[in-house]
Amino acid sequence: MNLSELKMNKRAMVVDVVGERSIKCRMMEFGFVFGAELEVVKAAPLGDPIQVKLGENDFIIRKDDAKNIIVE
Amino acid sequence: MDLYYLGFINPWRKSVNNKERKRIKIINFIKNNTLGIEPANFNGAMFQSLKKESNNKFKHVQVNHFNKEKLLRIALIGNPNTGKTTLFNRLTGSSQCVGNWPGVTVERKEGIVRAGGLQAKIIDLPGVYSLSPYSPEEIITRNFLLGSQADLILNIVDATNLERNLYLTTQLMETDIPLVIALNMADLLNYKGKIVDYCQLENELGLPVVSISAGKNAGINSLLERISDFENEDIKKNLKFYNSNIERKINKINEILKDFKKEFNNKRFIIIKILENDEYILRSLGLNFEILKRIQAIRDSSELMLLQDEIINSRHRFVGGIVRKTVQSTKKLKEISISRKIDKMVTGKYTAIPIFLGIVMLIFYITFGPIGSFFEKSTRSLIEDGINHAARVLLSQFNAGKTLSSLVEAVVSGLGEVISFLPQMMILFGFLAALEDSGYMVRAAFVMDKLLRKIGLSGRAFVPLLMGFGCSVPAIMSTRILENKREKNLSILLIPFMSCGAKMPVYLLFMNIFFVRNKALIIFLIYISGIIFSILTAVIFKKIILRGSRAPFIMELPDYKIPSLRNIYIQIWENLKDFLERAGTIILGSTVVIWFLQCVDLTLKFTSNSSKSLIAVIGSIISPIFLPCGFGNWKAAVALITGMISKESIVSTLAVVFSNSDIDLKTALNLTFTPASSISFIIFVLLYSPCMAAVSAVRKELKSTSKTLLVMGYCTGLAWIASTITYQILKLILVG
Repeated sequence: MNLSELKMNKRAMVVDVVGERSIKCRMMEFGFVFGAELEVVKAAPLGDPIQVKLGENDFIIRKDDAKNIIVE
Repeated sequence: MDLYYLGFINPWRKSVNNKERKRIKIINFIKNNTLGIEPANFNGAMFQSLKKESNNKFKHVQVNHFNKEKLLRIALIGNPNTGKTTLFNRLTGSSQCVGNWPGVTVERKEGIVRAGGLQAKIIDLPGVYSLSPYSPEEIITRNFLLGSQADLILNIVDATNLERNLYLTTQLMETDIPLVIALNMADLLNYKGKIVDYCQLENELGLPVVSISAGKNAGINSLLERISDFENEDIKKNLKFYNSNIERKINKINEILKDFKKEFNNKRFIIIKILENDEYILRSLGLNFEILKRIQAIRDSSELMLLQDEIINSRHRFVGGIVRKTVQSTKKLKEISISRKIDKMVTGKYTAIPIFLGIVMLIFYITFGPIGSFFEKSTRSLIEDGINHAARVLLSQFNAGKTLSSLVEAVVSGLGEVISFLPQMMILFGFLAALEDSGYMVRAAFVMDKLLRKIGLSGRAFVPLLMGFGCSVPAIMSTRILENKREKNLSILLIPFMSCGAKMPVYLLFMNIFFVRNKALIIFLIYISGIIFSILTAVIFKKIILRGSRAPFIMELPDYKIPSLRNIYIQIWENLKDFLERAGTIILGSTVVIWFLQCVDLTLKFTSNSSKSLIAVIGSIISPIFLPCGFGNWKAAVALITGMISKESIVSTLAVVFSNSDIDLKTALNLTFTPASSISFIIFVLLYSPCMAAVSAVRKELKSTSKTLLVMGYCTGLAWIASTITYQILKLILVG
């Protein structure tokens, strides 16, 4: 399952980050690394992007990019 | 003579080898040797070459008696939203200057700190999350550090966000540059029920750590002490991030580079970047094929992707370990933070857009409504009753000639007209600064992303666009944060339609004459129409501008904070300074030129009949173009021409060409313009070619003269069409 499919307020763990190298590295540097726990907090009023809580931080990320993050 | 600045001497580098020491000695000798005596005990060849080198460099350097050799260069680095700017303002006070990065135009801020024995230059680098080459800010920061332009890195770390912030620190630690950590907002962490043991943090990292609160001005002195004393620190960086496998590879690459006699600073940093397959670094090293092949072999001995992942993971693990050891929870964390609660409304499904519109309208109401108008009226009466009156008295006292009196009158009324709208411009700038400081801008990006995507932009472009309401120049410069080239170019094209602060006096001037009662509403509609025209433009150009590489849309959502009054004040002050500078140069200059052109006729003889003046002739040639727009008189045409230089000049020019001793500006405008033509004039001003400063910013960012001319031509063409349509429709409505 990828992050864009994760249901609201469900906790999950990052298992892998895929995709183009520059995008992948960016995500990993933000902390989307194997084992990191995250949670989808909410979606923007128009449905996209989504707000994701990762550790102590909140991020906003487009669903298209969230597809690169594989969670469990 | 400033050898230090030329990069010859760096007295803060501890690890200078003997050769280097000798070099410095020779350079010092050359520096002090004003008699030209050849030293006996120096190596001849080295001396000659250095002398030649320094002579060449010195040709362009001014002798400066200020002791710059003591000036330590400190690079201020940190994640975005860590209070970096606040700290910078704290440290430098008012001694800062703003410039551009060489080659690129992201704002470069520098300032001088003088405290105790410390004299330092602080360079505020763009906020970055990492030192990878994936964003322009990262590349600027990295090049600055690797170009050994810094003697010390001051790394500001947000204590409430240690894990993310320390990730950058791990990369900074890999450079050779000494590092001091300013742990900011540790007091805020206490509210979250946590405490950072910063002595422990210091031990774990092996770096000096000073706890500060930039916002509350706490700990700044201890930070300065620690900085001035950094040479005497005897703690050793803890660089144990990586496992033995990676360390082995680091050593192997080190050996290879040694084999090929490649020597450079920041070796560990560069080697690790090589392992990460950082093409930018690889290219800049200029390695030959054979080295590259051997490096490749080492990297290939494990899977490339895995190696990169492993390096990033190792840093995260290292940081995670440190955070676990140094941060303790004192009480149970409250489940929902205050920011979350505020966001329930601010980014809520049904409330987000109304709140956004509400905030914008509130700002408008305050700026243009009773409060702003009060300030405007006070300033105006101060200028009219005070300065204007004083000038008249003085002129009559000294029996000044008619020409001088008329010049003074023109300058006072021209500049005065612009300056009386200054308070309202400052209020608007203050609000924009407060919005930025509070953390709302990112929320707005979050809410607006999907809409902006429809016109080929992303939420990220929202901030530059919003800044455009203040001034186009910094807004255009800030498009550099957009990684996607197409998004950047499109934003640059759209920013001039965001009605900037300098256009505001034009609107207010006409509103005060024709639409006194609905002033705020109509100005609001003008701003909205600017946005509508930008959307239209985006739709037209979306297909034309080439698609750039895709950049992920991911932004950190910072906690809300109460905007600091000091930051707002500094922002307003910067803008005010900038405005006064322009008032004293461009606006004053164009006022005097217009006055002169109005006083002379075609034969350059003085004339009292302004309709026969040189400027009337010039204006009359152009003015027929504006007949369909409703303002086909030479005076309006001249004002629009000076508006190409700066938008404030429109008002000052109108003041010069319309008013004379018999009739004041308001009455004169009332006779020439109608409500319909005043609106179409405003629409033209809103849309037509940006001012000189903005045009040069566009030119710099687009790096193309023809594209810049295209932007100017497009804006002016659109302005003509739009104002013609506006005038023709309004004429029917307002008359009927």
